Amino acid sequence: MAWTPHKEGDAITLAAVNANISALETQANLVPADAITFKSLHSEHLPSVIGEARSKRVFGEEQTYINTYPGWERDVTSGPAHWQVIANSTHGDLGVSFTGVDMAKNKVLIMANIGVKNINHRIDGNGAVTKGHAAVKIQVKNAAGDWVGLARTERFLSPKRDDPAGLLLETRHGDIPIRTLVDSSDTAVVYGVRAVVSISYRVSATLDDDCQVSLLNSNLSAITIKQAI
Amino acid sequence: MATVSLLPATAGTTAASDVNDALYSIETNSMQVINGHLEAANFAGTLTSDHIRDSSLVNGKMVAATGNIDCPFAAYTRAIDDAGSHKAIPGASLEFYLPFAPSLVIITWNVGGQNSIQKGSAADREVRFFIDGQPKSGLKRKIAAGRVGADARTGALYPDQDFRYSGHEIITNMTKGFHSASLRLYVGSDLMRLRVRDMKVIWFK
Repeated sequence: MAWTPHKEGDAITLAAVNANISALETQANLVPADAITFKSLHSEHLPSVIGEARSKRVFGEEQTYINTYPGWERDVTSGPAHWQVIANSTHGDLGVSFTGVDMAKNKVLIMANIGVKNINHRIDGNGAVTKGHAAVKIQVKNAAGDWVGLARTERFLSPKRDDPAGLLLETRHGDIPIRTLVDSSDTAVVYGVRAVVSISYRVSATLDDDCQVSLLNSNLSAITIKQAI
Repeated sequence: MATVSLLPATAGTTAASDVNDALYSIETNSMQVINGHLEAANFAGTLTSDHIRDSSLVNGKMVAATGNIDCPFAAYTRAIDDAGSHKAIPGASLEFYLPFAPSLVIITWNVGGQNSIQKGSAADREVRFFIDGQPKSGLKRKIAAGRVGADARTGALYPDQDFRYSGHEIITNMTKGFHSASLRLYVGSDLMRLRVRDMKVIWFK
């Protein structure tokens, strides 16, 4: 209801006064967008677009992995070939947990850097070399409690090339960076993010003459970014 | 103050004091709300980027360089664990000013190069991340030796052994004011040649 001015000679009635005050009330409660001056809102007025930010560093002690690569888009975490969570005894898993990120209202930015100290080739009893590679990827925990791999985050790193004089290899000292954005097409809810590792072409049960990867100094971050309220 | 409710909810006779208070009162709900007290509950429109001052919710800074830098070990006179042993890398180090205490700061970097350290050398060498002058545990990479032969000048280099470190760090408790972030190098033998490098910092309200 719009404000109705009293004209000269009009009777000032209670109903007219109430109606005008109600009109003021309506206008104060329905401020339109164009009442806000161009570029006038800043950090003091607006909420952050960041929801939760979690990070984890696993560092200081080397970890060696011999679990065999289970194959593209396979998320098995046990059995002859499986992914293994990157971890050490001091800092635990290279992963973070959430209370449940609603992906209809958020996206999750994931960044990870996997520090590779070394990768060994497989050398059989006859001295023949089979070259292998390490594989890492990101998994997210869904509402069912399952860890689901993000195939697009799978990365590979091979050993350095052979020494021209023989089979000895220089220590790899590599870095595997992973960056990805998770949205509702990946999962409806995110309860956790972690990094897993495996290595290809492992056929022997012993450590020294078969493919293995050792990791050192890795970190992972997961940030929820609000896209709706 | 949230939604304005000026007159008594019940119908009937309206007291003159209610009318007066509705127009102006500092003790009850009144139209004095328009004197700078309107808030989100009074807003019925849709905010767009036109309403938001540029760079007020997120901003950032970056530095980068592509020129080669030769870093001979003779320039590194201290042991790797000594204070001041590492030297900041030009093109991968910056200072930045936070206009408020942000909820999140993301720092990313990339550095790469080659070296003439002989394979099997036990000499220390690494790239490490520092924030406000202090090293951050675990955010470092040892650099693989880059040379096969014994002669530092003629020994064959591994053509595929350029080191690269594309790292990141997030920080959620930085204060308003000036800060610094840097990648720092330590070379304990021979020569390190840095090539492309950069550092970016992004902060969120």
